[in-house]
Amino acid sequence: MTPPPDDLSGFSMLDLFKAEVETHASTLEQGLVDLESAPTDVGIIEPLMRAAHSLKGAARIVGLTDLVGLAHAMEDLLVKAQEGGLVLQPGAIDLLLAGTDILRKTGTLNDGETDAFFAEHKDAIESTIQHLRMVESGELVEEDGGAAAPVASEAPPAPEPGPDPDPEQGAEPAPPSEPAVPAPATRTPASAVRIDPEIFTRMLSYAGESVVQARRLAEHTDTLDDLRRAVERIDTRLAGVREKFRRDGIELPDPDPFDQLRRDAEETMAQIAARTATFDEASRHAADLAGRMYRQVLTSRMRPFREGIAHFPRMVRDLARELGKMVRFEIEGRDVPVDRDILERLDAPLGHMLRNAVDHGLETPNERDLNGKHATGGLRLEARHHAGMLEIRVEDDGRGIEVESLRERVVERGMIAPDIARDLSESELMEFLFLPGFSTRKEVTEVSGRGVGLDVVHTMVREAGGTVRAERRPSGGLRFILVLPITRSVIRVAVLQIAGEPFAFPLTQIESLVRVEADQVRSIENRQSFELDGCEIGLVPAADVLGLKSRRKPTDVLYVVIVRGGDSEYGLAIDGYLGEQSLVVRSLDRRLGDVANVSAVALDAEGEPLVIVDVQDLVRSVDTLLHEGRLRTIRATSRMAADGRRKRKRVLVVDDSITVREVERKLLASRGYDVDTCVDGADAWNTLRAQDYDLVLSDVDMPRMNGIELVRRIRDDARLRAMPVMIVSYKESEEDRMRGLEAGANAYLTKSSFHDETLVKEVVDLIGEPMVGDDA
Amino acid sequence: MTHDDAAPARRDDERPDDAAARLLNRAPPEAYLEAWTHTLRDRLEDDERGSRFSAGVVRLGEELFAVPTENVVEVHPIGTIRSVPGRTGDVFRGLVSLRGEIHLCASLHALFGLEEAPELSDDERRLLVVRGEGERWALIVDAVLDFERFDPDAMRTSQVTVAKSAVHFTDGVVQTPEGPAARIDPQRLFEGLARSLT
Repeated sequence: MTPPPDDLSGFSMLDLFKAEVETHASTLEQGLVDLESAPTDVGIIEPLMRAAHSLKGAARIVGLTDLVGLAHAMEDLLVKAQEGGLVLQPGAIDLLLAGTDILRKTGTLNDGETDAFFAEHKDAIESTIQHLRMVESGELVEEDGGAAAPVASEAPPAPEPGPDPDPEQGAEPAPPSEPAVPAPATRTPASAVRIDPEIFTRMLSYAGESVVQARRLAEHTDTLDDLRRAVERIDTRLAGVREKFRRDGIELPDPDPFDQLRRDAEETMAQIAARTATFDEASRHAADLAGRMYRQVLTSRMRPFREGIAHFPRMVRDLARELGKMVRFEIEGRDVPVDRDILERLDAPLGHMLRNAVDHGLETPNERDLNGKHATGGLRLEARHHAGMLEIRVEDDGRGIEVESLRERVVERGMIAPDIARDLSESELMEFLFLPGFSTRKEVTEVSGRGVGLDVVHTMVREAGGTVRAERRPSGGLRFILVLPITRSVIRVAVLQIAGEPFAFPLTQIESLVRVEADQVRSIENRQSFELDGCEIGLVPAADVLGLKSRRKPTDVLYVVIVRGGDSEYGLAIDGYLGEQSLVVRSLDRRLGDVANVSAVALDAEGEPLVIVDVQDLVRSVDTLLHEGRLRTIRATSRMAADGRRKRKRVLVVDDSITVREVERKLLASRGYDVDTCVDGADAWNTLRAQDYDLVLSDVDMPRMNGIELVRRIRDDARLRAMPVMIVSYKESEEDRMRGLEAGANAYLTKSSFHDETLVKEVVDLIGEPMVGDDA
Repeated sequence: MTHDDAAPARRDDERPDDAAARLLNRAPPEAYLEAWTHTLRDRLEDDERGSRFSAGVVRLGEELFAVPTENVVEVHPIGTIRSVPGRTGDVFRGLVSLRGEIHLCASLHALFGLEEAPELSDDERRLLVVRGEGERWALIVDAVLDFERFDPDAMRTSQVTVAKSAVHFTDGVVQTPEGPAARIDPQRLFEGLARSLT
């Protein structure tokens, strides 16, 4: 069965076999899923037949006789189907897919594992072969749908997707209304080379640097020109001296030495000119090559969308069959280029949303029939570039979500008070689907079922730098929209001068750049503002927000960049605008940790480092600065003086959900505490290091830094160690509670504690009444 | 293998590859091997005698420091240093780009609590790139003088000559032609640099 161990040629043949299995198994899998929805399309069968045939040959060469039999049976069945001898029913497709799975698995075996594998799977292989032969010979006719299938035997009759709404007539091959997916891509994906990310980063560094260096070469052309002009001046001077000699009547030897000198000078000039031309050409060539290499290295990160989603049609198909549902799965935008990193990160969230849609969104054929819908449910995955972003939609025409029952559910789960829930808009309610623990209940209802694991989807998409939202389709069903950066590698930025240094602001994150005359700036209570298009915009020096020392003197004209975050819009005063650039983004050195207001770093056109500003973070810092931070220090002094006897205790609320944050803030503020908010652990950590608080109230699941990590850091910090920390989480299990308390939290509450006084009571227990000195 | 000791200039009819092969394959000059054998053996004896160590001598203001050679990567002119908001301070200065790779840059003066000589411009100062504990740093120094081998027997305790604030980062004093230099303890150096980031 396996080649003799000492047969080296056999060993390398086994490697070849593996490579062949990988290619053909993919072809088979994709083609079979396509075939299921268009069983009479002979054009689809053709490549499948060839794939089975090639596998048969390859298995024979390496001596895997069991596989030869299997591939042969598959091939024969496909041949018969192609000749029109039979129409492949879902049960037969199941068998062929099962065969494909076995073949694929053998392609992943290591040396020495083959014997064990065949020993273990001998029965499965033989039974698959037997069933395939029976279908081929017509002994096994698929009257009752899944009977022939070794998998999904519980599946109800699985009729062909078609206009016929009666599932009982499924055995009759109805002509498909349209193929489930566009005709299979004839191009096979080019084989990819794996590369160590560190090496890739270094390649990118060198490629970028060679562009900079090549550009510097061009400067030498000017240097050579200067040289030529210098020689020209010597020549002119020689001519002048000779003329002077002649006028003064000084006799020159014959032959005239000046003639020789001037000839030499001219020759030198000609040589320099010729070399300049050669050099110029060479440097332009180098610049061109360096530029090409750089772009190529960059684009090597982009892969077509289809490469990341190849396995979904099969997954959807298998799941639908298992659940007794009929699904027409469409994919749009297979060739849309997507950053490899993002493509990888999308795999789990997309898979989850598709499974979710088939499982909870789409109804059974009967149910759909009763509702007057087409028995076959529609599921659509679409990728496109839109407004400089990658937009991916996952939509189904299933039962969708009832807004009012979602509202009830949210209240029932204790996630929000009934009066607040009443005022929530549809899109706000939809956000609850992505909250952790929305459907942790054992019984998965129609409503909460759609929320299963969506918090994980939310987190993963956000980690990839994107957003996800859900909306109801007007014609019924649900649509998820993911918006992600097209590439994580290149961004377009405005380079702005702040405190004498350049900083990069991503163009997508700034609203506009304006010039403001100094006399247009109003100053009220230490706050500066100016009017723009009828709106009053707060003005803050960018250097102050970034914590840089500005050496700039006041001027008559201010340059202002307008940034927006949520509902707030601010003007940041900068030194000047240096231009626009495309930057290749690199992550900040790990040793720097999470740096407030900074998202990444890059090299500018001169090859110098350029810090890329995180504008969203910056807006939060402005908020803090205006409402608490720097102004607080001014106010704090006066408050201490005037209000010295009575000082409010300060609580920092940390949660990534705005709803939760606001509920907590209001609860505590109404009780009399001074409350600040942060959107995640990293934000909180930066705030804690800058200001003093009496208590931290934190969520657990948050991006960038979770609550557990935040608590650990607080407990490790000499200054903050003694500060009480309370965790407020959706997670209710004893295990989660222990995890929180072990990290060092003083208390662990669940979010259902919002309703009653539990939360406030616990806060009072920990730090006492809001006013200093009021404690019992 | 050819045996011509004459300068292996390329013959007109010869392909460059062949010329290169001929150059590389030529026999070593007489006594060459013997000379190297002596040199290497002497060095070996030296090291066996007192486990001598090699270090780069750098100058910060008036003081000299010896940085173990195995920790030194390279020396660069100081380019543009770009601040990192919220992190740039006296010791950690920001980011520098060396051949397209971005390095963290720190002032060794500030770390050691020494005054930076104001009369020296950045054009004259140098960046000493050091590595250790799996990380790299570009350090601003006034000058890199030389790399030398030292005999540890000659090491004395450092209190005498080194500024008090820098003592913590050193573990002894060695004699260099320019005067006594405090030997930097790499582990403490990297710990100090890491602290400058928080």
